[in-house]
Amino acid sequence: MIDPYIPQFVKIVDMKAVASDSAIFTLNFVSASRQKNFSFIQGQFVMIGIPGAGECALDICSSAKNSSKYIQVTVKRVGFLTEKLVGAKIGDQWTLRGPFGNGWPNLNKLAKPNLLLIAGGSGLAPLRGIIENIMAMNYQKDNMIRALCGSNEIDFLMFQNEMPNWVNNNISLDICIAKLAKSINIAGGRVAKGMITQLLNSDKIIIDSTVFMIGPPAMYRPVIQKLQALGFVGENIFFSLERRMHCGIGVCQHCAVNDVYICKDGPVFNVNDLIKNPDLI
Amino acid sequence: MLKKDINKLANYIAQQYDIFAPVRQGKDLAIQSVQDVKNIDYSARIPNNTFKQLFLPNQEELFSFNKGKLKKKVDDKRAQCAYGMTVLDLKALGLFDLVFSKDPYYLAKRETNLVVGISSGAPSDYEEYKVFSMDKEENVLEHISFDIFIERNNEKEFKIYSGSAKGRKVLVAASINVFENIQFVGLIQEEGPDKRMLKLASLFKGSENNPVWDEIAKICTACGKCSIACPTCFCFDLIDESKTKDEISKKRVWGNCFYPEFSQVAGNRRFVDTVKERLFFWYEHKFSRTPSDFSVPGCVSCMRCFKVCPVGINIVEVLSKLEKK
Repeated sequence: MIDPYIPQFVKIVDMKAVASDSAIFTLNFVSASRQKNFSFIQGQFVMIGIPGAGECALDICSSAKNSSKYIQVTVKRVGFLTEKLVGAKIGDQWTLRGPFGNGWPNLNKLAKPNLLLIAGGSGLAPLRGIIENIMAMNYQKDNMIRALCGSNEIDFLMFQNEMPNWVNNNISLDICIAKLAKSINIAGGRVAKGMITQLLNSDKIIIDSTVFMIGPPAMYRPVIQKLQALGFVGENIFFSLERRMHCGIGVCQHCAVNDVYICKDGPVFNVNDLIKNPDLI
Repeated sequence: MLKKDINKLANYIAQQYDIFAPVRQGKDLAIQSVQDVKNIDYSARIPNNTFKQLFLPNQEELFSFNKGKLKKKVDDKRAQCAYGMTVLDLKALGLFDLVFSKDPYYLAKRETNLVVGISSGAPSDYEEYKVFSMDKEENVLEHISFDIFIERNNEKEFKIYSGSAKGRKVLVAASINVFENIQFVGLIQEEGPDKRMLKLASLFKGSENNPVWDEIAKICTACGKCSIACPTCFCFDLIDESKTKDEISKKRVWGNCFYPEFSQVAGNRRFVDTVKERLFFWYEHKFSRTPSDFSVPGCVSCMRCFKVCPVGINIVEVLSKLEKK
């Protein structure tokens, strides 16, 4: 019988700061065969831990296409465990369980293949995984991709150094910052001041798209309302949710929302799921 | 069969297992480790505490890390016998069997430990227990999982049933040769999921704003005693704890949805935050989520939650208020 609580050991092979309070870590399984056989669906999460400090759920932010070579996670310093994770060095070992849950829908099977990606705050980490996957698949070659990114402050906006590469790969990018002190350009585009919903006012938004959305809970309702007002339909709007998780397999109850377990039935849902369970957001 | 034969059985079991059984404590019953089997109470009343500790300990080490290496736990504890589980507690155990059907730690305990059920009076004590969370059923024993079941009739004579090969082995070894075999056919009745359970589950859909939750939230202290006392509450946390200088235990400990940390994530955000939300979460788990997951009730009507509640929240009254709406 598989023991769902026994983790694997992974080794940090690379790390880089991605914002003032967060860093991306490239991980290899200590067991080479484990690494070779590892696979996941974009949007699934793993439980990353340090013995003695506990575990937390993190989205994989590298492309699923590279899963046999490495995986990457982005950690923002917010508490006891993440403080230790961000403080790790190359060569340090962490534990990993998973992948868990359901990921984003398969890009090759989308009814609306153009993508509108919307990410706020720490949601840029999963967004980066989606974009990495798009570029690894060369999906942007035949489809329009637009990414809307928001953050409270410019210092917390993750992956600014990677954004020029996104734009060079034909991914249109719009950024807004809630507390913007001075005018600034990122990846050749001007950063707007305000909330992410205002980026939806642009005439560059293609309604004939599928939406993938990741952000703080407060972001979802206003953005969904705006999208629906623009003519997007629920079944094409997907979002990923955060909850406290312990087991990762729908037993421990920490992530339950009515009759749904975020870890097992999610973390990715679409707006039609909200009709059955409005408490999700 | 007479009490002395039952004592013979209990004595045999005591040689092989650590017995935990209901023992009289003043007016109440408490499940505790039993040295002298004559102290076991056969009234089949509901004890104040539960047997869940034997199958899901309030804390257990799953494995440990020693200098970066994973060390699996070797369980050298003596096998335990849950002796004197009532029909209601056996139903709760049946639910655990479903919840932890893929959990190696739980299954190891289920395999090692012995389960002895009891009833007193009629084959089921539903009348006495005033069961409210499910319908009364006729052929109770086929729908609960046990190794041995002891039924005491009104003349204080005993009848013995076996419910597993393990149970039969123990009975034969204890020289008890007169017993009836019962084949466990699952928790769900032949006629399908329990109607009372389905009715309660449909009541819960969209009932978050029913005034009853405000009413009990006003008096509830969120102490969490109901969860601890409940035989079906199984929420858990996985935690790390220092064992020695070099060794760190990964432990599974009981969780409690009444405590603020239960749903807390980074940035101190809590998804189940107010006392009202926590109360609803607890009730919803029993009367909506568990029926949805397993088609069986998440409450066995034992009333332990009411007995331990410092402000007297009565689960039967809460449900009847929901039903009136």
